Amino acid sequence: MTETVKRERICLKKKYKDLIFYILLIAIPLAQFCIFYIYVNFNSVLLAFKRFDYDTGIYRYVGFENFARVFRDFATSELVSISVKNSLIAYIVGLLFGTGLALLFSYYIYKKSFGHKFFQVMLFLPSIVSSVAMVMMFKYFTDLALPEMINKIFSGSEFIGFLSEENTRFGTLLFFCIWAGFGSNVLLYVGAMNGINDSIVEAAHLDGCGTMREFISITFPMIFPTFTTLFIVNIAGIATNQINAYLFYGLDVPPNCYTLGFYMFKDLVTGTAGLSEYPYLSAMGLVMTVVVTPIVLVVRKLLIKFGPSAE
Amino acid sequence: MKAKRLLAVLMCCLTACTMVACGNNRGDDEDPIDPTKTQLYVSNYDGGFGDEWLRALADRFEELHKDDRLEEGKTGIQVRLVNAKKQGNQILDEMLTSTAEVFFTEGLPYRDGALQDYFLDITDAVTTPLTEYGETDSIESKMTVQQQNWFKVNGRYYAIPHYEGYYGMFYDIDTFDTRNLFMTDAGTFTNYAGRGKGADGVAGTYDDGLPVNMTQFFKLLDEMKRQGMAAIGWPGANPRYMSDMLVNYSAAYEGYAQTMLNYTFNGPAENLITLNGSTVVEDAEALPINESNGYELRRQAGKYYALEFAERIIDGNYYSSGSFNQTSDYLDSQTKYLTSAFENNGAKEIGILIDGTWWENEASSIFESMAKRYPGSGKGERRFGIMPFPMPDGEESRSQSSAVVEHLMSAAFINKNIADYKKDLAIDFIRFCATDESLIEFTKITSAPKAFQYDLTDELSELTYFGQQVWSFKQNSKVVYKFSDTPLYYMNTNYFQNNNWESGIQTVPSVALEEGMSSEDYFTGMYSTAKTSWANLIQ
Repeated sequence: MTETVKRERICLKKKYKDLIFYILLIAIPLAQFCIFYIYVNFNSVLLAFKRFDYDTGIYRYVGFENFARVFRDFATSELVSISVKNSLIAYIVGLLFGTGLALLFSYYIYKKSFGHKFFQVMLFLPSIVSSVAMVMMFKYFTDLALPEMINKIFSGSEFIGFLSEENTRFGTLLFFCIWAGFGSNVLLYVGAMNGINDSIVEAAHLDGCGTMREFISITFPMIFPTFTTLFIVNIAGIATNQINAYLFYGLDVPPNCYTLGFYMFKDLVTGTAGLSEYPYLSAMGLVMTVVVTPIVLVVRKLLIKFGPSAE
Repeated sequence: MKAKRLLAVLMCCLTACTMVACGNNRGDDEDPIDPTKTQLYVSNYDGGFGDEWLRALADRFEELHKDDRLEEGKTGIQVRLVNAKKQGNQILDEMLTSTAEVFFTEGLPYRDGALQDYFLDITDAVTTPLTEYGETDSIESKMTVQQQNWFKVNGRYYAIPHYEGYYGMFYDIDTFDTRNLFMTDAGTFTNYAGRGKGADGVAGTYDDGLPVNMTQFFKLLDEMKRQGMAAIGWPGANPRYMSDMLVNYSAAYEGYAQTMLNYTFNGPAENLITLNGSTVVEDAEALPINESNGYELRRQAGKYYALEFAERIIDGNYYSSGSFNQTSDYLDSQTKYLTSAFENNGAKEIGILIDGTWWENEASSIFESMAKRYPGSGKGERRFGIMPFPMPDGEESRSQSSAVVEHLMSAAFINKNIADYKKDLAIDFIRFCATDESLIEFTKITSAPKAFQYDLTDELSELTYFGQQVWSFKQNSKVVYKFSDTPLYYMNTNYFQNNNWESGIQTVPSVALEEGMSSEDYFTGMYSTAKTSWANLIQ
């Protein structure tokens, strides 16, 4: 009897110790999450309903005043219209070319086709180099080296550069985004593809399944959860994607390269942007969240319901 | 396996190479802390004016306080520099956790910082005469009324002005001399010795031998073109340089009072125009401006003529190849401008540089490398001058009332979180940097004026030629600081400081004009855009 009680006590003590260990382990990340995620976001939601009073030096509630300004800007500002249009174009182009090509290249690498190792390294290279350095190299290539070559080949041409010319700059930014983001997409898809059970693939081959059929009927359905995740993350990022405009142009981003992400970011990083700007930006962020969240949820549901099944 | 290892090493090298681009902050981080002294940490915006001035200031301050005992077992002061190219909001965001105790920075949202209680109240230090340094003036009395009104928040001072800089057009006097690009009073080309009196009609001033109106100016550009030069250059990656230069063109045309209206919104606007096609129609009467109709100032004639000036430069293809290229930043632009006079590598020599008055100091390293290759091309060895803005024909006299807009909005202040025992020391440092000796020293080192009222007499000859020109320019101009204690202004500081040229979706005139927009459309668009935006600003 005493022995059992003793054993129970030791067990309980161990449980307490485990609990203390667990609490200590989780306390800091939890506190960090509470402060830097919950509190910050909650505060920014409140900020959307306030305005900074320069006479008293404090924020005061102004109801939906900031939201009214956001909707007014959405209705009247040409720059906001351009930003919305560009954000959607960036998303669609990213989906078609970024995701589409990433899937094909991943499959190519997964199938260990000719030069797959070379492609794997080359495609991932832009992702490991600092983005600022990549932007710098890319900029010098498109606006110094290429124009020099083009103007030499086509004598009389006065091409300034892909990022400098009005008609090519937005397309060039999109190209860079896809190219620079390609590696991480490929890495994720290749990782997911490598997780496919070899016996399934072998069975398919025995049934006479070709390369394309294998991709459509086996590979893609098997990696569909990864695809869904990336697809949804991209939708959620429509309102925040800056297509690296700031890295290329600083604050002087040409109007035809504005996206919603940059539109909001610009007012935050401008040196003199002050306390009066934040509530408006918070309201705009909140409106974006309200618009994008249901889209994300609906798309997710649709993908799960109608997407290819691994069964 | 070997190939993999080799690849891994190559990747590491590549990653390391990208880190090189980060550079270092050239602060005192690598110098040892002297444990026998008390440290005062000073943050410096290490931009165009560098930190040489601060090191010189720190040396004198340390010497002055070599016997001070602020901490047990420590004698003397060690000023430690924390160089960072941080300004504005970046500084405020990091104030609470920053180790720096005294700050010198630019683009400060000052009122926001003061209201958030980030800065130490230095009212007494600002208003008390600097008698300990043998002066009778206080820091406050060295400031203009406009500065006093801005820096005084609810009757208290939390910062003082620092330096000032203006965007403009700069030229190489020796190039103009050898190429006979100066003008006589009759408007013909000549060399330095034969140059005329310039727009002010007074010999010996900075505008001697330079164009007095648009016709003469574009005649000069045509002559440069004829001689195979690229007349004007500015950094394509920093189109703001051109935009801010145009702000100063407008200021030169409008004069001090009319330019100030853009910040105070209180007074009669005298030069408002509307366009009928390309015909300028002046308002018959001055329009009283207040906070509710401030957008009317977008119709100021000076703004239109500034746009027209830019349009003629662009349409006439007078600019250098880098002026619209994204790879040409301000350093690249300075390099091309400086080297083009010596190197014949296919690029055209650039006649006029659009930049700020800090450019000569900023280009110190370029001068240094050039001096090694071309004797006589080092800093201070070449003579650079300031090109006055050419007024529209028939309105040459406008340049006499010249005003210039200060663009840097710099300030010095003390971190509110400074330890109690160091407060007096930091305050003393702020006072010390505003003494005449320190102000003059700054100007001697950087060739730039501090944003205070002080005199250079014997010391003028110690400045570089360009420094003397800048000083002469300052003396002949009334400086407009881009701030005001008007509620409309300080509640929308960001808008009024960064949207000088907003016209529809365009914010950079040079880019819009290069892409085919006309100066008339741009000007008309500025008015309608401002009128629409005003509802948001006056809430």
